[in-house]
Amino acid sequence: MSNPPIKDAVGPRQQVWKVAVTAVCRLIACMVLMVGSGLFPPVLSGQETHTGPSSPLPLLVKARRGDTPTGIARRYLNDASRGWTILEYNGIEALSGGEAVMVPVAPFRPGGLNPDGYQTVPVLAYSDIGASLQQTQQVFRSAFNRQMRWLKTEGFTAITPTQLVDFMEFSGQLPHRSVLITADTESQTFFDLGVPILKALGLTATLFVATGKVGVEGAMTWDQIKQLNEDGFTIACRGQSGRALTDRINGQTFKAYFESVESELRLARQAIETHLAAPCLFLAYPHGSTDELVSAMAAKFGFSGAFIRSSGDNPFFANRFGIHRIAIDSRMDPELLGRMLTTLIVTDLKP
Amino acid sequence: MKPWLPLIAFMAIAFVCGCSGTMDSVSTFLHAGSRWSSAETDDIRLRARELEARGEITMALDHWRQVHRIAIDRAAATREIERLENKLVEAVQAHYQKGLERLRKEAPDSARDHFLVALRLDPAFQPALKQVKTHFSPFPLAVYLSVPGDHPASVAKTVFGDEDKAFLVAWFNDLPEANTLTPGTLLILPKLKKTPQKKVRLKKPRTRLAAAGARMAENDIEGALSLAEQANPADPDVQVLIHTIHLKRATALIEKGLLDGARQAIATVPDGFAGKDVVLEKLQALVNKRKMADAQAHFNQGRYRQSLDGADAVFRNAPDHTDARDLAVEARYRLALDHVNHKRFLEARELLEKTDEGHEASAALKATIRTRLAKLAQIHYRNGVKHFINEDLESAITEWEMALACNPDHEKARENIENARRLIQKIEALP
Repeated sequence: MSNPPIKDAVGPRQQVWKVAVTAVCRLIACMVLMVGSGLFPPVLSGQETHTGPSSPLPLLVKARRGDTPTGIARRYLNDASRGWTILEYNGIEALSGGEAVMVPVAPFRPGGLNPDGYQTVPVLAYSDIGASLQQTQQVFRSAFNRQMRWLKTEGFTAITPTQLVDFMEFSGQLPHRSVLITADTESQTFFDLGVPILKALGLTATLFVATGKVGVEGAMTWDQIKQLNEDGFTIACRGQSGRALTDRINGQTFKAYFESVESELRLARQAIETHLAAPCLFLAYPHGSTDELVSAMAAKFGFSGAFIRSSGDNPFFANRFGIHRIAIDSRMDPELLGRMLTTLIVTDLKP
Repeated sequence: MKPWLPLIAFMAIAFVCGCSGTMDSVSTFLHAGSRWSSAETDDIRLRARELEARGEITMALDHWRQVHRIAIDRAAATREIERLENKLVEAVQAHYQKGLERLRKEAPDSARDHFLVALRLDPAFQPALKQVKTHFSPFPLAVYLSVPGDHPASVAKTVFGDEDKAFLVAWFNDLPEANTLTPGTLLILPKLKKTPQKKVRLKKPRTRLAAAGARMAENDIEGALSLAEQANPADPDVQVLIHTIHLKRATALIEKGLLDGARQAIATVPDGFAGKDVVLEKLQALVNKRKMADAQAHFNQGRYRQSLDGADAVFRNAPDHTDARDLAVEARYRLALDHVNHKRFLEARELLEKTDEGHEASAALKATIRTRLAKLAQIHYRNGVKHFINEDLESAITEWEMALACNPDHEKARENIENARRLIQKIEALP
C-alpha cells in the first residue's frame, strides 16, 4: 500500500485569503437565494424615481380574479381605504380580474383639479336630530335617515375634517364625491337617534360641542363623547357656552369683549383635550358667524380649520377659517339636497 | 472560517426582512412581475393616448413610462415620454405666464384658472401654488415688520388706528405689552379694519316680498324663492321678483355647469323679461364650450366625422366662433384624407366642396382628388365604350354615368349617354 498523497503545503496568508473568498461566495449565494424566494422586496414596475415634474410613478400590477380595489390598496399601499384611488386613476367602476391595473402611490389629483374644473367639498351642518319637530332647527329622525341613505346611495364618501384640511393644503386628494357631515350639538337625542343611523350606514361625522353644556340634563356625557371619538367620529368645539362670539354686550369694553372670546375658545379647547386626550383641531363658530378678530384668534389658537354657516363652495384654495357649511333642515328632501351639493366647479382647466 | 457563519448571517437578514414586512412580497412579486403581454402593453398605450386627449398629460406620461418599462420595443415609448415631458414643461410655463399677465390686466378669475392649470399639470410647481394662495386663498392673519422705536402701542396705532389695542399686538405675538420691540421683528396681527364701523342693525322685513328680496340680497336663492312663492302671486312685483330669482338661479347653475337645471329655470321666465337674453347667451356659450371640448376630444382620438359634426353645430350657432370654424376645417380635411386613402374620392370631393379655400392642405387635396377623379372618369368612359361595342347599352350607360359623376365636365360621356338612350328607344320601338 502506498501512503495517501500529502496535500500541497499552504501558507497562512493563502489560507486567510481562501477563507475570505469562500465566505464572500457563500454570502452571495445566500443573497441570490433570498432574492429568488422573494425575501427582498421585488422591483415592482414603477417603483423608481424619475426626473419628471409629477409625483412618484404608480405601481403596475395584475389584478387577480376576485380582487377588489380595497384588497389591492391593502396589499400594495398598506391602506385599504385608498381603494377608490385605484378606480379613479384607471377610470373604471370595478375590477374584472386579470387586467393590468395602475396603483397610484401618491395623490394624482391634489386639490381635486381635473381638466373639467376643480373639486369643491360640500359640508352639511345639522343643528340637532329629534324624534318630533319640537324646535324648528331640529331635523326629524326620519328626514335625517332619508338624507343619509340618499348620500350613501348616490356614492358620497363621508370624510373627516382632517381629510378636508389636507385637501385644502394641497397635499391630499379626496374621492370626487366627498361630503363632510357636521352637527352643532351635544344633545342626548343626537346620540340616541342620529348616531345609530350614521353607524348603520358606515358614515362618519363631526360633532361641534359646546363644552360647558356637556353632562348637563339632556346632553351627552363625556364618556359618551369619548365613545363616539373612539368610534371614528371627530369631536371638535363651538366654544364653551355656545354663545355667538361676534356679539358684544352693550357697554362692554373692547378689551373685555376680547377676553371673553379668548376665554370661550381656550376653555373649550382645554376641556376637549383634557377629556379626550387628543388635540381639538376644529372650531364651528357659534351661531355660524365670525368676523376678522374671531377668525384671527381661531388661527392663533392653532385650530386647523373653522366653519361658518353660510352656503358657498369649498375648493382647496378656500379660506380655512371660513369653511362654508350648508344648513340642513327637515324640509330638505333628497332632491333638494342633491341640488345643493356641488362637488365640481366647472371651468376649463385643459392645457 | 466557521462553516455556520453564513447560516447565521442568512437568518439575521431573514429576520430583519421579516420585521420590515417584506416577507409577503413573494406573492406581490409573482403578481406584479415583468411578464406583461403585448396586449396588456397595447392597452396601456391606448389608455395613455386617451388620457392625453382628455388633457390628463401627467397621467398619460406615467402610462408611457410604464410602457417604457415593460415593452420589448422601447423606442416609441421613449419618444412619447420626451414629447410629453416637453409639452408639460411648456404648458406649465405658458399657463403660469398667462396667469401673471391676467393678474396685471385685473382679470382675477382668468388668472386663477391659468394658475390652476399650471398646478394641475405639475402639482409641485410652487410659483403657481403661491399665486393661488396669495391672491385667492384668504387668511385671517397679516404680518408686520417692526421698525426702530416700535412697541405694541405704536404698532396698534399704526395698524389698527388705536393704540388701546396694544394688548392685541401683545397677545397675538406672545409678548409683554410694555416692551419695546427689536427692529425687524416679524409680528402676526389680525386683519382688523382700521376705522371701526358702527354696526347697522337691519330692520326685519315686514312682508314676504321684502323678506324674499332680503334673502336674495344675501345670495340665499332657494330661501328667496321659497318666500316669494308664498307671497301673493297676482302681485306684479312678486312675479318680477320670482323671474329675477329664477334668472339668478339659472346663472348660478350655469356657473356650476348644471345645464339641465339652468334650462328649467330659464324656461319659467317669459320671453322678453329683462336679463333673460343675457342668461341665455351664457348658457349657449357653455353649451358651445362643451360641444367644442367633445369635438376636440373626438378629433384627438381620430373620430373626425363626430368632430366635424360637433364643430359644425357650434359654428352654425355661433358664426363668429373661430375655434369651431378652424376645428371643422381641420376635421373635414382629415376626414376627406381618410376617404382618399380608402379610394372614396367622390365622398372626399363632396366634403371638401364646403371647405375654406384659405386652408392650403385642403386646397392641395382638392386638386389631387380632381386629378384622380379625372383619370377615373376616363377609365369608366373607356369601359362604357367597350360595352357599347359589345352592344351592351345599359352597362355602357352605367359606366358613362359613373364617368360623369367623377368628372361632370366630361362632355363625351354626356353625349354618349344621350345617344345610347336614343338608340335604346329606337330598338324598343322596332316591331
